[in-house]
Amino acid sequence: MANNYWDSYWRERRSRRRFLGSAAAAGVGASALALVGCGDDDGGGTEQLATPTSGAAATATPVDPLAGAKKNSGTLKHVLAGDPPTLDPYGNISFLTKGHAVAHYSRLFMYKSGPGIAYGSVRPTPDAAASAESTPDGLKWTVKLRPNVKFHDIAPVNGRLMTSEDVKVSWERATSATSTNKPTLPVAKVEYPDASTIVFTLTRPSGTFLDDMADTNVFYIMPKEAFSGGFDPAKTAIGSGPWVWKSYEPSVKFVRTRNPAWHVGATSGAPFFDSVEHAIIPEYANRLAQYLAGNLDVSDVNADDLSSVIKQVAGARIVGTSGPTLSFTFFDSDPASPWNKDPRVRQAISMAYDRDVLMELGYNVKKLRDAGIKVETNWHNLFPAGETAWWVNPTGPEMGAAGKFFKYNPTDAKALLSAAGYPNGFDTTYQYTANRYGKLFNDIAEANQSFQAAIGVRSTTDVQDYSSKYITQTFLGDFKGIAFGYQTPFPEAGSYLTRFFTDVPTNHSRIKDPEMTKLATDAASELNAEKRKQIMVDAQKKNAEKMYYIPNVAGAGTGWAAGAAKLGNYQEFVTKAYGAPAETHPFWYRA
Amino acid sequence: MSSSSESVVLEQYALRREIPFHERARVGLWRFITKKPLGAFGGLIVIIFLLMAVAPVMFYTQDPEPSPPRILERLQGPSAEHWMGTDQQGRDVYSRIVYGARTSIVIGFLVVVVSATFASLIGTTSGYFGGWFDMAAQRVVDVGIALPGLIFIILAVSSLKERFPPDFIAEPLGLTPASRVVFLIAVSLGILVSLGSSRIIRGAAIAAKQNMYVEAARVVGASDGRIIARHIFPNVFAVVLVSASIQIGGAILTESALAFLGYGVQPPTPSWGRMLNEAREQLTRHPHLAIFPGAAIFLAVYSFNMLGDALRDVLDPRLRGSR
Amino acid sequence: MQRYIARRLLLMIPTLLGVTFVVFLMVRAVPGDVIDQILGDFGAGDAATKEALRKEYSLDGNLAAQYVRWLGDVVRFDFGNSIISDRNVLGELKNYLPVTLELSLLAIFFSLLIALPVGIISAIRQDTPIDYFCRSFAISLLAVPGFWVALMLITLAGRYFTWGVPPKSYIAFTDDPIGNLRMLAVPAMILGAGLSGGVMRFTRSTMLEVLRQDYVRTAWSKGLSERVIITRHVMRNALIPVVTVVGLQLPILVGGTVIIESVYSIPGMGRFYVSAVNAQDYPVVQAINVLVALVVIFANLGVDLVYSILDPRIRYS
Repeated sequence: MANNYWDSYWRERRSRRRFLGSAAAAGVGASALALVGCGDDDGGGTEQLATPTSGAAATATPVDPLAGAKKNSGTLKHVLAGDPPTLDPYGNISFLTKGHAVAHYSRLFMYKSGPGIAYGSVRPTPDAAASAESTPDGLKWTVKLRPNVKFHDIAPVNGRLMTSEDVKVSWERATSATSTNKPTLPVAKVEYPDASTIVFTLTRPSGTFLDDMADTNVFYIMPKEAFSGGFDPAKTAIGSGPWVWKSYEPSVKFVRTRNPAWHVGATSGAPFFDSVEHAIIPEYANRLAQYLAGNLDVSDVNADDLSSVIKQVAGARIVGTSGPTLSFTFFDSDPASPWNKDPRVRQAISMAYDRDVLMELGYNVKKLRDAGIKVETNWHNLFPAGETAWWVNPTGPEMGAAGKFFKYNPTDAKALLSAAGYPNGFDTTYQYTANRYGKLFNDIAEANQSFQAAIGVRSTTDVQDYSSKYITQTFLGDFKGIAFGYQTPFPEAGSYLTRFFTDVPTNHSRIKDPEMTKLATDAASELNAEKRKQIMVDAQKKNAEKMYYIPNVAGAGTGWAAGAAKLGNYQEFVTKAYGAPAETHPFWYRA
Repeated sequence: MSSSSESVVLEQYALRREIPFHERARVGLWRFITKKPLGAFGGLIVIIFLLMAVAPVMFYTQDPEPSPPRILERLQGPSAEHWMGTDQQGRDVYSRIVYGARTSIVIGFLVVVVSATFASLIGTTSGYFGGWFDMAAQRVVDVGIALPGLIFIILAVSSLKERFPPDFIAEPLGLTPASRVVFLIAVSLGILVSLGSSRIIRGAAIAAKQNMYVEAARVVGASDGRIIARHIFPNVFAVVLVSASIQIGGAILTESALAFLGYGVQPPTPSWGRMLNEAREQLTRHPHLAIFPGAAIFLAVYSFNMLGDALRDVLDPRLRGSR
Repeated sequence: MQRYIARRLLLMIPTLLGVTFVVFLMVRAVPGDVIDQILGDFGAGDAATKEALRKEYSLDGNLAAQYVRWLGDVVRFDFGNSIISDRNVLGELKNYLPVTLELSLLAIFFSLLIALPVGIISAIRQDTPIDYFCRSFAISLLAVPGFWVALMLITLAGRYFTWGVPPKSYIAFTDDPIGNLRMLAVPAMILGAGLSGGVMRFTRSTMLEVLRQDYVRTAWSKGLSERVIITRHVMRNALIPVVTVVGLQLPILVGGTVIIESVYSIPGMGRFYVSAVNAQDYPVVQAINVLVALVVIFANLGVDLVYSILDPRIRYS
């Protein structure tokens, strides 16, 4: 099945808040939506970059050199909430593995972060590649490597230059039978005409080639020695990324030193820290205490603790990230179920949720606002609220008539249930998983059930084990009743439609609506940015009318991380997914 | 003549003025309270918790699961309206603790019921029959004792969560998915604990077997089952009861530890351990969320232990003050 | 004595076989398997990849064959590699187990520090307010959930006295003994306090038993001072069984440090175990269960032997 890695992509990302809190702290870095202005000056950047016009599709531009960056910043005291399951980038789908890999190995493309780039406008930029060009039909991409990409100076690789040979063996590993994250690009073949050129031939046009290459789940370039017994990538790491392996004590810490020859920092001098130490601390209370005691430069912070952290730590650098992860209610596909007999049942359930109050529950909105902290409270639509390039505000005029189904209205909800033939409501099962996504999700999941019960949708709760039941059965549409869950934050928004409405296992409610299916397939192959946007808008409105998937607000509000006062430019860097070790850490410095 | 005098004696005996039951109970209770004040205190608390478990309606002040939720009243400190404040969902913490007593008490009692039953069965039969049966049974017990406590329970709960008890047992019992976990924890913990105490009971059974009246019963042709039930079991009963009262405390603590690790009971079942687990990320600002459930666990474990100690002294003088 | 030990050692064989069997089946009772875990949202992982991975990790073929193969390795004390991390299980445990052992021994030390004096005083002053107070105190320590204390301590330290925040990463004893103790002292005290209730009770009861012995009565009648009687005659005999009980607590601790390890971020076996259970990492879960079972069995045997050496009245045959 295609797209498999997206699933984990999403789940891992979600779980980080609980299991890997630190990854959130420094990983997401910061949307700065809340505290840093989000100068959206690069409108439609992603699409322009990705549109296959021949010629200057993507050219290496040095990452903004950060005037005034201070070198020799010492050791960055960073934190992780768990160990990577394995160090081999192709050995496990976990974001912790990817978060480790991205520090050591380069990709062809990475995401560009920096002042003025918010979560919704993060876009691909060259990493090991110097440029990428496509033919006008969008079927062939030619990628040129930078001439100065050097592997770390560790035996047996010894600082040699990267060539297309390394790309070749890495691609073979990525697509091998036992690879856990096979690329989902529609690649027909890959050719390597010379030492610095790679040519990808696709089976259909793709507007998202660069995004896929930049994605931290897809393609890492490892030196060929990793596959010929030169070193074991499950035990150490030798790559060409910003950080060089120093030591790893499982359950204690990682230590990495700066790569002085990092190609991306060639002009700016990044990474600015001499080394980075990731302490592994699973318990939130302990991470926070360490941050408060000055033992850590970063920590994730609960919405509840935010104002006391600000009070206690003079000059704490607070960063808020809003809305990357979609949450939604979905239904079984039994034609005899109330929601499949009459769409008004689904509309009613959507109207049973008081999204303002759920937002309060998850994000402590009122107290933070009282304390003078700016908090984003946008609700999710079919696309997550943070996906600002595509998202349609559910409460805005653009939603038209369907907007009313988002508003809390238990009276009308009951009336809709009556009209659908359930004047006294009905009994069902409500399921979700409480051992994966963290406290915020669990709190909202629990509250949802109370809201449903208030309009007469009475349910027995089945709280499922994530791995043995939820993700193997419920998430794939194999269940009875109503379910609630999270969705992967796909870097490329078209994935939401493909997965929700086409004939794939992750069509959670098994929706078969030809109109929706057409929107999804159109979005995948449409190369024109404006037309594509219109498809996305239509899809959100259509879904709201039918409420096939009922968007919630878990994952839509502002999540917080704190940096040390001395971490001068901590707030200016935001990235997607797990790229922080390469996309934000190298650019931080101590003021 | 003699028979008539006998009947007179019997008649007198039957007609003697008996101290009424409530009188005897009162005196007994009073002696227990004065001699064992700590045990009596424990007993009182245990009774309160039992009442909470049986009839929470008598105690709670607010709906512990209001629908729709009163989220806007969340995270308040203790007040006249909410004696122990409100939790993250705006629910009354005191009322949740009252309802949580049911989980803890049910798990505690279920553990000792399972444990006492298994332990008595294995212990008495193994001790009474001896021979190859004893040998085989004790090897099974060996395996159970060697399985490492909490570590094995975690494995058992995570393996069997979706499968145990099987539907044909769960459905007639009316077990919801949430209460299945309670059942699973209690049964697996109970079995594991029982193996340890079966050894002690086996010892007591072997001792009881030496008594003359057991020999006598066998001579008059009583069946093995009857001998075990009538003569062996009463002798080991005190041991069973005493270890049970102490195991309850341990079971309550174990449930809270499991809940804390995420293997315990799941929402919407309230449980003290789960309340603590939910509070772990909000301790800085809202310590009341952890203090009250923590105090409830403390009080319950303390009381069961104190009561257990006192009962042992009273019921089994040989064990006075001992393990 | 030799015959007794030989018999006990022989009896271990069926016990250990039973343990391996139960554990092997239990790990596999979970729906889904380790491969699904590696692939994340497995439903979406394609069948071919799963098949390839199962083959790679020898998880294909029937259960009986897998069990026999694993058992063959275990007999040679080879627990294989973790399927998740691909690192050698014993190699990993060499790092984790000593940490847990150190923590456990420290905890036992602290528990004795509390339990012995309290238990002794409580026995000497039986059924007085002092006795009530001491027992109450000990039972209180037993009744407080350790993880609750740990969390409260860390949180309060972060907020009100940052000097009390534990070191952020584990410091090995060989690197810096003082730092190592700074890391482990508080968690060990919390664990030790929890244990002390049981030990105190036991101390008190054996003390009481000995206090009623004839020779103690004789000592009293000879007019010896209380201090002499208690220290010379009573404690010596009363503490023998206590030693054995303490020995039996080691295995309980080794499995019971899970929570405190994750709260204090100590790289012990408990944390390793829980993450392996969550990932269904068969070799690791099996290895830890079997190894701890070994520890339990040998601790039991050791305690019995120590007991017979300390107490000449007991002889095994």
